Amino acid sequence: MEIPGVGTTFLILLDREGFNDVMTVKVEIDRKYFSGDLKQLEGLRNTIREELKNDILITPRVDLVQPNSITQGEGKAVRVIDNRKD
Amino acid sequence: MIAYQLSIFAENKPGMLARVTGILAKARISIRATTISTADTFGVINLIVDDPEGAEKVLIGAGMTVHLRRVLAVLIPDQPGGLDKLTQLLFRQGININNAYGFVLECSEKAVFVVDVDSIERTEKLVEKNGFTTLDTEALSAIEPFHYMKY
Repeated sequence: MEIPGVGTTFLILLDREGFNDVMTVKVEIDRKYFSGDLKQLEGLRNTIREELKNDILITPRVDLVQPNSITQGEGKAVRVIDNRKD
Repeated sequence: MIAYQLSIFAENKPGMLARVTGILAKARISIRATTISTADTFGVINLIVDDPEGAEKVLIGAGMTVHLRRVLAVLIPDQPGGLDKLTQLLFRQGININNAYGFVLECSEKAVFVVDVDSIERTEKLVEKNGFTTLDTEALSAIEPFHYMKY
């Protein structure tokens, strides 16, 4: 995904709320993009959400997070955490 | 004169503001004013401090995402209508305020209204031409927030 403002790392969380599965995508922001403008950040989140919706046909929750806050251990990067039970 | 506001990206969760204030306290940086705007899971912490560049350096050093924004800190009388005179002037000139907040310097005497506008130079000239004083970082640092001894 080539969206200005998006950093290098993301993480997909799958949860169950009642009978529904919920997808949350945590996206690190690009430090250089941040201008202190909350409206700009909200616009970035909406753009990411729309792009994902166009690609995967469902609308995920999108959380913007601090650069380097999604920790990755050594080896293959963990991109999806499935918290659904059963 | 132009002042600087420190804007910090923060996730909306417990301890984020405490982390910022802890870093600034350790660096002996004084906070003059603060506001927080949130969009549910994230937000922006805005601070007026006595050493914006120093604060930016220590916060970035701690891994935070920080931006120094130019703002106008306008001195207004702390009395009924004091702020209205300024906002009516900005309204008449079609100047849109993106963000604003104020703090009292001296009760019933002086207050500061911080405005974040798109056309900052034009607004600076306009308010000064109309009798207002704008403060830069040095002036904001030099003034005492309250004269406790007086009360």
